[in-house]
Amino acid sequence: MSPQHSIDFCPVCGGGLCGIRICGTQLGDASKQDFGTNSQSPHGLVICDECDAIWLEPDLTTAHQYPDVENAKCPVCDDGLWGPNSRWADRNDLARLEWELAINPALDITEG
Amino acid sequence: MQSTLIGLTTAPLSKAASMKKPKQAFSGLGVLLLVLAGYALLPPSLQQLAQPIRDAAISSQSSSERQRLNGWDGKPEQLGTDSNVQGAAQSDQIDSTVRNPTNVVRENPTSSQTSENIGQAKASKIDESRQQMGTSQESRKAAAEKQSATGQPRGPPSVQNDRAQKSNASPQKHGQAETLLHGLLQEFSKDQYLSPAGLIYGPGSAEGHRLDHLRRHITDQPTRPGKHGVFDGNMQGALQTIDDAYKRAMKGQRTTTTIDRNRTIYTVDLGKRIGFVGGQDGDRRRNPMARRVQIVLEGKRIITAYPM
Repeated sequence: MSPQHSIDFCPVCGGGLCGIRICGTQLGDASKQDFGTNSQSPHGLVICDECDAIWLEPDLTTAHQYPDVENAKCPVCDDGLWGPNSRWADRNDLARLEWELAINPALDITEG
Repeated sequence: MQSTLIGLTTAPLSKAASMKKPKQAFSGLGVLLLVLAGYALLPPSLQQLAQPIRDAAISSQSSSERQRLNGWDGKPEQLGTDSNVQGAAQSDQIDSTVRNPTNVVRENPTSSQTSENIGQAKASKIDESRQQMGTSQESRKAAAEKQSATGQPRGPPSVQNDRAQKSNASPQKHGQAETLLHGLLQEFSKDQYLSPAGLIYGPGSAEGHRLDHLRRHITDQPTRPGKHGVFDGNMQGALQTIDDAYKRAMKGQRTTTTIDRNRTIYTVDLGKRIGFVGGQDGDRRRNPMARRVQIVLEGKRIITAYPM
């Protein structure tokens, strides 16, 4: 399960892709949510798909953190990081998060 | 006078008797040779039936005759043994070696061998013949040693690994199949697996379990941007390589260690091929071999591991 859109290769482990993930989609249609106004609304994360390092902004020079090894939770909403309310962001999600300019198109993976 | 008379009367008789003896011996020998020639032409099953008779005939021969017969007579003996032990299918193989002049019985022509001795000699003879044909245990062992001495067996890595995995998997099925996952991992708690080196594979990652995440690294993802390390040897090979790398890391052998809070990242050079570099970068470089492993740990818990 690889991210569709990534910012860069992981500066921590070197082998992973720092992909953009959208979390908090349990509140309904993500497009109707007011992004970034509260922690319960859909929000974006940058996560390495190898080592699970997390950045809260699409900037890898900022501080990263690690989730719990077995019970990984979103540092914003405390929901399951890999649960049904979270997914790798697609083009629409990027637009809603206003993170589309942060991605490196060369790292896009189009599966299926 | 009386004694001279006796001498005159007995002398011609003894001469005549001594003249008859060679003739009898030759005719007896001729008959015996005919019988033996006929015997040699019999099929092995019938020869086996006739064995006691023939043995008795042989034992009645003089030492010189026995020597001659033994030199000739190995064939039926060998065939008889062959049909008993090895079955009729190999009789031709044995036959070809019996024609070899280095017959075991001929080597000790004057000794009166027991049946056990003959049997042992036959066994060594059979083994000798198998060695020549490359089918004896020693020759098989030697061939195996020769293969290992030359390094890796021929064929693409995937085939080698499949072979190795199959050979490793068979004892696992009969022995510890119920307890060991991929032939190595012991489940010590629900969904928690312990490797022989002490690494723990548990739930986590986008795939749901670290082992499922590791599974990504046993096949190439040619469309994945950048590099994608792929282990040789499927899951078992990957797990074994990670364990080997971890053991080296613990000894500080060819290891670069990075510690970031509660995470430890080991980059271990194993000094031999352990996989290849896949992904788009690897594909561009025609998938060069990988000999280093990157292991990301939290304590002894595996986060990820991949070749590089």
